[in-house]
Amino acid sequence: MALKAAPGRHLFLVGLSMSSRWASISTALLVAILATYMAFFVTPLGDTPDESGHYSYVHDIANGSLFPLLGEAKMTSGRWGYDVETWGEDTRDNYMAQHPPLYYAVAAIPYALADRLTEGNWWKSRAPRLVSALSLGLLVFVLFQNLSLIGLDASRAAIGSVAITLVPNLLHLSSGATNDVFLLLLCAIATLYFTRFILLQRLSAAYWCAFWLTLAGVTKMTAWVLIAPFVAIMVFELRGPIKRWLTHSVGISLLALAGPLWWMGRSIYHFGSPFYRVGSDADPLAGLGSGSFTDLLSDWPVMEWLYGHFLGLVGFSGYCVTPELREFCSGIRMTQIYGFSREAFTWVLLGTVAIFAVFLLVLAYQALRRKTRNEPAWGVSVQSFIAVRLPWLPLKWLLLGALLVGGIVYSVIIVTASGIPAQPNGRFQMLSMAAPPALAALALGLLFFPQQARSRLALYAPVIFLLFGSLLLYQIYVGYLILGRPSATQGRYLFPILPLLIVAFGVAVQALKVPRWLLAVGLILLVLGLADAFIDQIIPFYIENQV
Amino acid sequence: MRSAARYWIVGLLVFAIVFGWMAARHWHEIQSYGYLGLGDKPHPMEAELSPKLAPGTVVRQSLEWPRIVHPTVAQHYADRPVCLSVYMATHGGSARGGQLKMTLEKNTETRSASQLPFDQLRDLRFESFCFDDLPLGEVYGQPVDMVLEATQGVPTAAPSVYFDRAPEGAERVQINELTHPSHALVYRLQIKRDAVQSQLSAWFILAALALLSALVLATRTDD
Repeated sequence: MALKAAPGRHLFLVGLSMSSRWASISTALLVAILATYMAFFVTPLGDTPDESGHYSYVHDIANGSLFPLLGEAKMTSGRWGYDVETWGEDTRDNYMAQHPPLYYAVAAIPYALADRLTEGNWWKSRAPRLVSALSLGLLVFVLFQNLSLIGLDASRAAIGSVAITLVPNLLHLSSGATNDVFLLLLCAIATLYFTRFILLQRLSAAYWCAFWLTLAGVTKMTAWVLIAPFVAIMVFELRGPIKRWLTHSVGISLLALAGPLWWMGRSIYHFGSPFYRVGSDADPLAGLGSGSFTDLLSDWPVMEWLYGHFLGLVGFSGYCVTPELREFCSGIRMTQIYGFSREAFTWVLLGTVAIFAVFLLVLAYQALRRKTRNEPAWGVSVQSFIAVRLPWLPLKWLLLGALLVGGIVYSVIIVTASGIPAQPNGRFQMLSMAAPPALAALALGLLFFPQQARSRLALYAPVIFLLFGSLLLYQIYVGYLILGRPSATQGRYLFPILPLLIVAFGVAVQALKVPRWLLAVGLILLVLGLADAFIDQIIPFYIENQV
Repeated sequence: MRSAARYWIVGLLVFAIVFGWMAARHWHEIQSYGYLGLGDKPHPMEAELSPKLAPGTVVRQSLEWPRIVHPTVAQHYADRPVCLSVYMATHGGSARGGQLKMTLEKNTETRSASQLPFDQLRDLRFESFCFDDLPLGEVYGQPVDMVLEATQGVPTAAPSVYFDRAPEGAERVQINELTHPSHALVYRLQIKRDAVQSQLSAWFILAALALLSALVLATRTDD
């Protein structure tokens, strides 16, 4: 499994073949058109998660309130053209003001244009959705560039870049006013430069990565969980004499953290806490929930919800459109995706995890046979020092073994505490969800051995994913202690790490020479699953629920 | 030149196959977008199959209006044609060659009737019987029975409908005038309305997904 030298010195379209250019542009354009159509004609206004709050935030910025303050900001009365006299004033606080403002500032541009250039409310109501829809198209384009950069051919890069958009939740979110898809795009661009830095050691790429990370950091706080490991890894990988290393380590870190630090400072100024969000000041020990983390997993279908909500959590408040039937408009209405779509996704995810596991095992075998090598480099990094210069092979194997045991125990705890979801192929769903700790432990252990740059890129992904997933589970547990039930079981909170996971899978595909037909089968399964989700479940849900 | 021809041939083939497959799979569902269910969709918990609905077997269920739909909602849709959908079993698609008829009766007098060929019924799905000449406002609140019977067909190739345990105090289903001790028919009330926009959207999504598949799978490997 000798990895060829990364061919890509290109960025965006420069250096790509004609077929790659056509594939990346045409698929991105088509995905953007599909998402825009969904935004304009399919998804009812208010029917993506928290859309009423996201829309109100955009409305406030477009109308001159540049930084709406949590606790003061209100939901926009008469939003989407609803008659205030009929529906009444909306006096609720806008809890979405807890988010940093970048997405809302960008979405305020099409909103303001629609406000000035069009009559009525049709365009103005839907204009903020354009940012999400176009972000999804651009995401395909950026992922294609990244997969090409690691050396995947055009056909495999096309499959890899489009596949993620076939998850129903992502297409659903991209048809609404939400910061999630825009955040995913920013993280994908940051990941592209991160890849470029790891593969080519271009210092400028590290700074560009930090720049896009800081933009992601002022879009949503979940990006901060990506910023920390990305910056740490860039510092870990940065080569050169100590003075150069120190200078650029500080420079990259400061640039990446600039946005989050600004938002933290603002939160401290207004609320006294750098991580302030709605409910974050509640004391978990004085809440309604009790019991251990494993009790939570046993008593509530947390993992099943996470899985289902990643695949598709559809709807919100868009069902309530008829003033005469207002008495039936209480709470929110949402649905998950079941049936063939869920099964197709399960098979594809299981296949993806299996391919990546095989890739890690091959790397482990190569490390055992001392066949892995760091690529020649002109300078020393912390990474190359640990991997190449430290000769303590038995200690490294001991460490890898200990990590692996820890990872497997973590995985087993998740499976035994959660049980098997009562879904078709529930055991495969659980297997896919429980595998990351064990895989991440193996990947982390392998990083102590010499590895080529592309392999290291793939090894970092599960480690960061485990950090992300563990923090999410911790937040769910804290929510459980406060509320007495799990909250924040949202698969979309994992979006920032998805681009690196896709790139890591691309490295595995390249290294194992996974046949194109197998990837094509996965793509077709996802296409049929997405069609099933929208035609048989989501559109009927919209039709059935509008009162 | 040959490469371009190959691209177009593969692309068109993939588009045709994927679109054709999805269209065949979802055509029936897209047609049903015109039916709007009122009230909660039933989820059978203690399901039981009816006898096979061959000619001579009659299933009768009284409609208990307030249980089915709130009066305010019914009032809102009063001018829309009524549909009733029942949860079907076709015994693995073996129901063939007959006609299943639903009649709405008020005091044994027929108000309206609708029928579906056995061949159109799908297993484990709600199938809608629509009464285009009967607006909801004309029957809501009236003592109306829904009567199901086959007008053609043979017992070996007849469908069944599902029953579920009836709530406390609710009317039970009658089979050939014998009242079931515990179960009622699984059904829901619908109204018919225009769904052109939703149907157009469904076809747009299917076409876009088929085109996306074609674009991706026709992409050739770089030199």
